[in-house]
Amino acid sequence: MSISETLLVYVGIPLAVYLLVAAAVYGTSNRHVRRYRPGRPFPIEAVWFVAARPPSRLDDPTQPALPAVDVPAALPAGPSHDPIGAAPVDSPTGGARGTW
Amino acid sequence: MVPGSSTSQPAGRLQPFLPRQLWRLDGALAAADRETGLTFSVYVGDLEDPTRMSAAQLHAKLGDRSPSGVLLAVSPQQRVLEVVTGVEARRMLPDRVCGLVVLSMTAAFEGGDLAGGLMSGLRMLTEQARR
Repeated sequence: MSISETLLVYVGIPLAVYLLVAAAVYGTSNRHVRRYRPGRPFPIEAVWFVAARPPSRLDDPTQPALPAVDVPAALPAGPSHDPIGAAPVDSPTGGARGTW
Repeated sequence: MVPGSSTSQPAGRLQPFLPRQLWRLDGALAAADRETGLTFSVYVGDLEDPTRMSAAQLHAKLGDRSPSGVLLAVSPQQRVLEVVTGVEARRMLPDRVCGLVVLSMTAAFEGGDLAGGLMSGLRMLTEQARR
């Protein structure tokens, strides 16, 4: 074997294999995802997920609209037992908080 | 799954989840909604101080679904988790229950497992709300 052939077999082939493995490891599509490690900077794009609403008949334009019906007028309001007027129902949200 | 509006963030930032984690999260959110009738929602990103108020504002953005809404807001950078329940959701998920779920989730986050913590939190809340 000439010198160039020897180099090709004993240097070129191992180098090609090495590069192939390196490409398989680092060349995946997950480069834009970073692993989270608490305490280290983690500059991520904010994401917000809500499950999609189940498909409703109202959302389907091919369905014919239901016929309108006569809606009885609302009954007149009776005398209030609370002369001051009921305070607006506040809507306190619940939940919990945690840190790590 | 409907990604929230995150256009205010500068471009080039990293995504917190792998595609397969997103896939599982999507399934867990849909299952949680279907089994409980509540509206579960997950936010991952920075929260403004005070974080509680910031999370409550996000929860209010659910609009007509906010009374039955359950928001899990995680800020990995600030190491804060806020769980916000609406008026109806609070009846099914008392604060004490949410506190226990938060403990379990923060334990996973401390180990660096964001997706796993969110998944187990969603599962626990679903189990509790079905009772």
